[in-house]
Order: sequence, then structure tokens, then C-alpha cells
Amino acid sequence: MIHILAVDDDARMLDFTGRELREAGYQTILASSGDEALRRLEAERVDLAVVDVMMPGIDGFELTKMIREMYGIPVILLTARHHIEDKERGFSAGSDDYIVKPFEAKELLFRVKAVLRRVHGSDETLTAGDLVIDRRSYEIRIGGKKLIIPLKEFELLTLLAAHPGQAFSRDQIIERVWGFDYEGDEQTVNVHIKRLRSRLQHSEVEIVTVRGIGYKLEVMQ
Amino acid sequence: MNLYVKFIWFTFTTMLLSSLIGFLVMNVYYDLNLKDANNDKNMRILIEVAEQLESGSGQPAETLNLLGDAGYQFYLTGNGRSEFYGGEYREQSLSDDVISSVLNDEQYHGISEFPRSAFITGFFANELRNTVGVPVTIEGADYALFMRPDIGLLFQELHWLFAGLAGGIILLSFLLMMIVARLLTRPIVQLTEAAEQMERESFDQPLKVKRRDEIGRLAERFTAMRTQIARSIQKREEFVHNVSHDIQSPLHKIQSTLSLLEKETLTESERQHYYGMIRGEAAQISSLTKQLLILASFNEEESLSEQVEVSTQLTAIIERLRYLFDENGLAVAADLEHATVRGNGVLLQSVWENLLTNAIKYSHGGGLVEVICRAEKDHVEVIIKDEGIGMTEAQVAQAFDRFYRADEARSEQGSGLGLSIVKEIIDLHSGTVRIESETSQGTTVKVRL
Repeated sequence: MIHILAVDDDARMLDFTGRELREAGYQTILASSGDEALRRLEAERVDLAVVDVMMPGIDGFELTKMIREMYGIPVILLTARHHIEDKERGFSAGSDDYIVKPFEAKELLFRVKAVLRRVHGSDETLTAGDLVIDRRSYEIRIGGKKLIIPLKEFELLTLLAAHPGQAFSRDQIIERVWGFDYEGDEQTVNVHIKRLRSRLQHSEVEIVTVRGIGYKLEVMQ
Repeated sequence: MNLYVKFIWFTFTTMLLSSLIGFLVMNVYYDLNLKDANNDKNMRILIEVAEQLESGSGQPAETLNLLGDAGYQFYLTGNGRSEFYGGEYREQSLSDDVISSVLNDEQYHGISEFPRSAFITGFFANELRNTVGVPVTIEGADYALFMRPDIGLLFQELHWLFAGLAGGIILLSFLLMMIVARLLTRPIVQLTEAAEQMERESFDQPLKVKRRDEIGRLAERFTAMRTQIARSIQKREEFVHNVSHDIQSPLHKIQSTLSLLEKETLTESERQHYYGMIRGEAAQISSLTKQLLILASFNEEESLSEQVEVSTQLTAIIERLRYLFDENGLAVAADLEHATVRGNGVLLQSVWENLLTNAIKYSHGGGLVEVICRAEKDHVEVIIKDEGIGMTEAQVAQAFDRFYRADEARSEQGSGLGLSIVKEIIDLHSGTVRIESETSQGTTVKVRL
């Protein structure tokens, strides 16, 4: 279970942030000030902090700096639009990412996932032909050209590229990429494979359909 | 005290002060340079008079009376006599020491010795001690004879002439200053009235100030400013009208959808459909207000002198919008050369954000958005290319108009402000923005800075 500390002096924002994170399956710890956040950090295990910039007392930048120095855990800053120029400050304070308010729950969850992946994920790169998969930045390069592709496509491609030539069935793919509890059908896999194929058109790799089994990735000679 | 009274008061005090200073300077000048010459001149005349008296021709008293009438004042004393001839002295005291020293054959240089005083000019002081004196022997008896020119008599008319001149100068200056002050203050009064009218949002108070001086320039600038304000207020009213309409219509749709939802006979799927509609309308209001916030920040942040790293900005925004790309199943190919331009970072940021969200909004799932940034010799080019639904030529032509939406039904999230904001910001940076588009082939937006 991942523990996320949310810090905001605005009770309603804190409530919103907390609820969204809980619903997404994270354990949340809420604090309405920098001081309270520091007290909670002393007592509890925290994997990631989501911190609002504008707070009375210890502000978000200061708090971020302290959290990074004392606990070394990743921090996502929530900032108002006119604070964008403070971005530099945010990063120098050690925040791993920032979100401009007002934001949608979806954006928050995407960023949380991205930061956690960056921290806990493996940082190796995979290479197949002229295709390079960077598992840290979640980007791929085809013949040196950088391409950012949707997450599920990325994971699907990673799965296939990690074992070139090995065929995976649609069920295996769903299990590995979407998870056990995924309720979608095999059609989803087809759509993603189709999209990946069009993206890999000008590369040296090809996703080949293995009749009756599923798909495999091949490097063309 | 208003400006007019101040002006006249200022004139008056200036005149008073300069007269006073002039008088003081004159006094000192007389005292330092003219007094001795005046003394010597009178001494020469007195010596001649004394010689004439001593020569014995004619009656001494008659001679002195005649000279007194001609403009000299005399005082003859000694040997028991003490007589005045000619105009009277205002101050007749003279120390006995002086008289006895003159009787002892010494000359008296009273005009030279007359003490300096700030407000009394020695030249005019009608006093016995302000005289020259010599010993004189008349019919064997020794006397002391004192003399000074009778200024009152000699310069009587001149006094009046000068008084008239001074009075005339003062009076005329005053009258003219009053007219000039009136002329100077009138346009200011007019400007003030026009400004007061402006406070009540009335901009048509006539302003007839045609001058070539500073006030004329001020009036000119004022009129220009007033026109500008009137225009921007009109623009603002139109804008508010449009915005209100754009907030009103989704709200209206939400309200009517809500009343539809109150019916109990709805199937679950109908219900879901209506919820979706409400969500869409709410999203539209939200996006409109976001754009309005950008517009509001427009005026505050006019500084165009920052060094903006376009490539860095693009990287950051792509990263920030990554969840939207993800959600829409879109890939992003970013080919960004390092490039900086001079401009406003926050405003340019909203340009890229607007263009990228447009590309996302009008793309099909599985599509690709290309972002290219090139640093050329004298400009930076940013190209944002999607494979989306595209636009017809007519739609492209209108794309930059405020509140224009290519397709009411499709662009449920659009505010109709996005591209007009982009255009305004790029214009502000003296850049160009071009749209190339083909229906169902995609749209390419090229920004040159």
C-alpha cells in the first residue's frame, strides 16, 4: 500500500485531493499546514507528498525543501497559474513535479503515478533494432527520434520488446498490461496493437501476428 | 486657493519682493559708489558760494535766499546767529562738535559720513547732518555754513513721474497677468471638467483646446486617451456580452437537462447520457473561465523582454499534458531544437498550451501529434501538427475570430477564445501564426517568432 501525504490549508481542496487519492487506492494522510505535515511525517511512513504552494506559515517551497532534505521522498507541488514563473523555485526546492491549479482529478492521478514510477520503477533501457525504450522517462526512440506514446501502448511494447521473438497470447497481454481485474475484452488489445504498428511503421521492428496464439515482436534484418 | 488666485498672488508677491530687493541694492550702491561723489560735488558748490559770500558783493542774506529758492538748503550758524535759508530741514539736529570744528576752519563732509541704513537712502534724507559744511567769514565774523540740495524741490515733478510710471507698471502688469492667468487656467478647468465627466463614464464632453504649448499637448493626449478608453469600454461591453452568452447557454442546457433527469421514467442509459451532457457543459464553462483568466493576465504582464526558452517550455507543456495525450490514445513526436526568443514567458506558454490542447481535442484515438521547434537565423519556428479532423478553408479563415467555433456540436469543450488568444499573443510578439488544414487529414499550425 502506498501512503500519500496531502498538504493544503484550503479544507475543501484537501478534502477533494484526499478523496480522489483514496478512491484511486492510495492510503492518504491529510495535513492542513506545514507544521502539521512535519509532525505527521515524523510519525508515519510516507511514500509521496502532494503540497500546495500557497500556505500561511511554512509555505510549499519551504516544506518541499525540508521534506526532500529530511526524508528524501518525492513531492508534487500544487501551484496557481501566476506562480508558474516560480517553477524554477519549485524545482530547486526539490519538487519532482508540479500541477497548475485548477486541475482535474485525472491529471493529479496521472502525475502521482508518473512520479511513483519514476521513483520505484526500473531505469533500464531496452533496445530492439533501432527502437530504444527508456523505462525511466517512459519515452521511446525510433532511429533517434523521440516519441511519447500512451502508457498502455508503452507497457505493451515493453512487454513484447523485452522478449523479442516470443509470442504472447491476448490473455497474457491483458494480464500483464491491464492487470487481473481488467474487465475489457480482447478487442482492446487489437486496437492497441494496431496503433503500435502504425507508430512503428518506419522502424526496424515489427509486431507480427502469430496465428492462433497472439503477437510477437521481431527485428527486421 | 485656486490656480487663478494663486497666479495673481504669485505675481503680486514677486513684484513686491523684487521692488524691495531693488531698493536695497540701490541703497547699498549709493552708499558705496555715489555718496562720496555727491558729497564732493556739493562741497565744490558750497565753496564757491562761500567765496562769493566772503567777497562781500551783495547782501549775504539775499544771496542765500536766492540760492535757497534755486534749490539749495542752507544753515548759517555762529557768532550768535543761527539762520535757515531755502527749504526746511525735516531733522534739524546737528552736534555742537561739528559746528565748532567747522568754526575752527575744518570742512564738514556730512553727506559722505551719513550712516548707511537699509531702508533710508542717504540721497533723499532731508536732515541737517546730511550736508556739507565750510567755514565762512562775513563782514569779519566767523560762521559755519552748511548746505545740501533741496531734493524735494528739485525732483518734485520727477517724483510724480516716477510714481506714475511705477504705478502704471504695477497696475498694467496686474491686469495683464489676470488675463494671462485666465487664459492659462481656462483649458485646465476644461480638462478637469472633462475628466470629471469621464468618472461618470461620459466621453463626449467637448474639449476646445487648441494650443501649441504644454497644455495643448496635454489636452491632445487627454483626448486621445479618452477616445482609447471609450473604445476599450465599448470593447469590454461587447466582450462581457459575449462571455455572458457563452456562460449562459451551457448553464441553460444544464438546467434543462436537470429537469429532464427529474423524470422517473428514464432508463439507466438515458440517465447516463444526460449526466454526460451536464459534464460536458460544465467542462465548457470551466474551459471558458480558464481562457478568461489568461486574457485577464494579458494586461498585467506586458513585459516582452524576457528570454524565453521555447524548446524548454514545449518540453514542459508536453510533459504536463501527457495525461491528456494518454487519455486520448495519442502519441507525441517532439523534435525540439534549442531555441530562445525575447518575449513574455507566461503568455507564450498559453500559446503552446492552447495549440496543443486543440491538437488533442481534434485528433482521433491512435493518432500522432508532432511538435517541431526550429531555430533559424532570424526567427524561431514552432510547428504543431495533428492528424485530426481538420478544417475547411472557410473555417480556417474564421478560426482566429473571438467566440468562433468551427463546429458547435463537436467542440463541446471549446470556448471559441483559444485561437483568438493565440493570435493576440503572437501579434503582441510581432510574430505570425498560420493554419494549414484539410478536412479529415489534419491541421498544421505554424508559429514564427
